[in-house]
Amino acid sequence: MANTTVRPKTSLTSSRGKRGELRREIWRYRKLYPLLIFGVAFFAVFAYAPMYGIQLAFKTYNIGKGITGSDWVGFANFTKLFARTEFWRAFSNTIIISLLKTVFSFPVPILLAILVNEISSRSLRRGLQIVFTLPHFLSWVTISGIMLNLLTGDGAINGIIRAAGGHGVEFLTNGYIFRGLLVFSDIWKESGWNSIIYMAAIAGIDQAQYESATIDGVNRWQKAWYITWPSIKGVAAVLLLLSLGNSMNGNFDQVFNMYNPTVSRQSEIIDTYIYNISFLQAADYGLSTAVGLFKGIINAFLLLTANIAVGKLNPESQIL
Amino acid sequence: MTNSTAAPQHGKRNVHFGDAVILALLLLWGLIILYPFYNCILVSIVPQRVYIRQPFMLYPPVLDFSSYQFIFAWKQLFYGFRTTLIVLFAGVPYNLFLTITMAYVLSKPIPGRKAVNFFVMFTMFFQGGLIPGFLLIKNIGLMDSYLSMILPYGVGIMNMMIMRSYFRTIPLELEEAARLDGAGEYSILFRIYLPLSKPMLATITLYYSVDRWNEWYNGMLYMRTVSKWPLQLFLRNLLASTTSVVNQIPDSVRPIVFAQGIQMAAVVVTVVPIAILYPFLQKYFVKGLTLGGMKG
Repeated sequence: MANTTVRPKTSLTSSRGKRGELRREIWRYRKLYPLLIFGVAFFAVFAYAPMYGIQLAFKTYNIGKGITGSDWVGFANFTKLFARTEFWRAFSNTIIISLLKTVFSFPVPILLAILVNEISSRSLRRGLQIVFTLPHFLSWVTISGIMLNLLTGDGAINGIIRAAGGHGVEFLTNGYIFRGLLVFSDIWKESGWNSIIYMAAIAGIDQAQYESATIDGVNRWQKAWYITWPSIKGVAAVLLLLSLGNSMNGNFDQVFNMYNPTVSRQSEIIDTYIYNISFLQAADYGLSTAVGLFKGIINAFLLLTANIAVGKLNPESQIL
Repeated sequence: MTNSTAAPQHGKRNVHFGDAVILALLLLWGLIILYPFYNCILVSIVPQRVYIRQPFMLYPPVLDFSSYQFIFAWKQLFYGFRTTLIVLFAGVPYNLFLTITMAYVLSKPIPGRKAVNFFVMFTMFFQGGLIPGFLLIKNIGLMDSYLSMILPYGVGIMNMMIMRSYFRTIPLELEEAARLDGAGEYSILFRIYLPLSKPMLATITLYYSVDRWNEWYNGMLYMRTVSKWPLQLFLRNLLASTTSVVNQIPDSVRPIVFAQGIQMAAVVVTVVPIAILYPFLQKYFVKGLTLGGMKG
């Protein structure tokens, strides 16, 4: 660091090469840095600034005093929270519903992709794909409207069940059946869209493999099992891990728009619970921030674990 | 196929049978996807007495468009469209600007890129949560402002990553040639990168537009004035409590209403724009997923 004075430009790769190179690189891209300001400012304001409010988990919120001025209460909010059965119920519901979704939703896109790939007509394939992927682009508000109308006590499905001589099914009032509905509607909305990743993976398979298999007299199920499945297994493993990593997120949009008080015992998830104690019941911002923090920490832990596991399988898919 | 021994024929018949099974399964799934929409349309175009007697219909026995007359006469629906369009036309350019600038810079091997990347990605793993976010909007004075629905949704990280990977596929030679011609950084972005990224720009524009079209959550949290609610929030409110919503209409002009019919008519009205455009734009929608889906 002795001679940091003016150096001739040619000495950049000398003993202080690295430092000089870094400086040269920064200089080279100097005009690009200002472009980053906008995005960085966005994240700073809308993602990082709220984190300042997390201290409310250890405070009793007082509107007059604001976040900073409210009184510290240590872990009192957490003690209160852990004593509530509703909290633990929401906690276990979140995990149960997420795992049910992982188990039942996960194979459907794979199956769809393999089956659609067997269709030889291009236009039929495209038509099916359009139908299968359409629900992905509708909001849960819309889909809950459609589904609830269909499955309500005197709706179309119960109408035909009764017409066939059966008893009406309590889709929306029996909590356990309702959980099934959460899983089904998730499959209904997302599996077509999720199958596209698999279709892309299938499209990448060398066709010669199939051709030589055909010559060897291999039937289509064997081809699916010995050629197609091994080539999409890696993608499936990554998606399975990500799905498990998301176990703390029970899909607020879906549950919030679909559930009702008669099924909340089996379907209240942490995110809807947080919303309810924040805005519907007697608001306790300290308590609800504490729930949020509790969930956030477990969530971050699960996501990071999944992310590391994904990195072991496929370094390209690791994001942090 | 001249040497037709027993075995190949057998195999051939199997293939036909398999094709039929696969097609049947896929058509069944297509039916399961489409039927709820069809039912929704049916409920919206029949009179209440028909629906009560016969909730499951294959076709509408009687047509009755009074549910549509009702919702189209409802100012609140138009306010909903207005708000959603405001949020969409102001919000999507805001999304694109933030996403493109960030993706472009991060697509270059610039020093400090890893730190910025971490700064962005970290927010996928940990967030402030509901109340801290709510208090932020309140404290910066955005309550009941359209901005409260526009500004908090800036960069969709997946979209940013898709865009960044796409920028990286554009050959550096083009940029270097332009630089030799004296082009500056910004004209390289605008004259070379953006025109060459049109398909991917179309894709992320569509993703952002759909998200904006489906906006209701921030509206629910931050918008007090009902006439400034986005369409989906209006729909949500209507679905949750048609009776109480309809009761807000003065008695003198309030018709006798068929709640389910009105609800489904409102669903149809909000879905139709997407359902009409979607088949034409589907290839752009899919592109983003296949190009950027698994990339980090």
